[in-house]
Amino acid sequence: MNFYEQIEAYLSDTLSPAERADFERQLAQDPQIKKAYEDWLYTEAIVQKHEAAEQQVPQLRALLEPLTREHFNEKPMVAHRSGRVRKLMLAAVAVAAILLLFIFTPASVDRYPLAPMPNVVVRGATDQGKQGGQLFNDQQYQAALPYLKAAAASDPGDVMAAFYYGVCLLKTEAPVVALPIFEQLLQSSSAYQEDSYFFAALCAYKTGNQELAQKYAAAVPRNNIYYKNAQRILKKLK
Amino acid sequence: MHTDQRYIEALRNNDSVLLSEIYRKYAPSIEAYLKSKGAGTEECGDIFQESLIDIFKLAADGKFVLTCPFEAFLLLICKRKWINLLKKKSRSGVTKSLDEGYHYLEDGTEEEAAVHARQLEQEQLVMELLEQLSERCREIIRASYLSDSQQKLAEQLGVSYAYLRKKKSICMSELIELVNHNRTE
Repeated sequence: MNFYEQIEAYLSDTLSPAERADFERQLAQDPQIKKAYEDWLYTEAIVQKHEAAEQQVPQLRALLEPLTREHFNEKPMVAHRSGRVRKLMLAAVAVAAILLLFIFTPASVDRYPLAPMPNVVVRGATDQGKQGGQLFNDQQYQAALPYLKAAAASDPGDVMAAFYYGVCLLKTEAPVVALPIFEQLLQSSSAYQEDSYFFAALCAYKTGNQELAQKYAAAVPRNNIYYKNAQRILKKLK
Repeated sequence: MHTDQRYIEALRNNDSVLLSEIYRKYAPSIEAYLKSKGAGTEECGDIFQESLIDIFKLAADGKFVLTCPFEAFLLLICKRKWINLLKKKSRSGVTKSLDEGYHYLEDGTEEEAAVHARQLEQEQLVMELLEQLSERCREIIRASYLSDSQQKLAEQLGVSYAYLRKKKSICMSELIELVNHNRTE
């Protein structure tokens, strides 16, 4: 009997008392048998757990799928039929104007991309975060401020409300207040952690804290969308 | 144990109220994060859902203890799933980790989440390696953990009890050797 057969026999309780005692003595004395025994238990526990779990996955999946569909769907754009062509023309003019502004304006630290606050257009949405988010997405930062502040204060775990409240403060020229919010977020291990390094750097830069601005800007990862903006801050600090 | 352990229990107990809370609290920010890395809406949904199922499997036996915020752990699993998806798609410039260049200042949370993620990956590796065994071995190993009696199982498989036990020890030794060969600490 090799030692895997011995382990199997030991665990299935088919050894005689003498064989059992002999195996237990080997287990205590022989590191190779001990390792094989531990590996068996480790592997067995995982297979047993995952096989049993697999039986329950369909039930869990049935609960998760509607939630996934509800929370991860493309939000349809609101289409206004009247005067559509005129609006498209206006939009094209606006885009052209913004492009010209970008071309002829020297690179500024205030030129950074900003994703709209997600999940704010939800049927029946009435809470502070969503109202603030809608105003934020309409670039009404001053009006959005009290709503996002209330949302962030009511739930300290709501990192999204905190992040957009911080950006809102920055947009309304309150970087001193925004800085500790981003400093908190960059320690949160949330989806906003990476971005918060850039915004903390920008707050520190705007408040004249060059050392801190440098520290945070240098921490923005290369694959983050704010990497180039962070590099711009570092360049300005030189 | 972190207070977010309740979300782990919610996955184990199919608690629809808390499962909704998980989506409400974490789906928007994780979706925004994944989209910033190039994922589409549908991919974000798939990654989020499958990450929750992975966490469920890890915690299915009731022994898993969460030591960091649930969001940190979930985000890390989602990130890694996205990296794996990109590798499979072989899109350009995706050979580097999304974490590359990421300088954590003082965040023990991330380390705790990484420990959990490592455990999950090790367990997934064992299950992937099980798939590399012969069909007969897979059948014997799987069935032996779902059957109440090994003797009944031998009858169901049409083999003797002695053969089943010997075959199981051979199959387990093959699996253990594969695991040891592929394990990364």
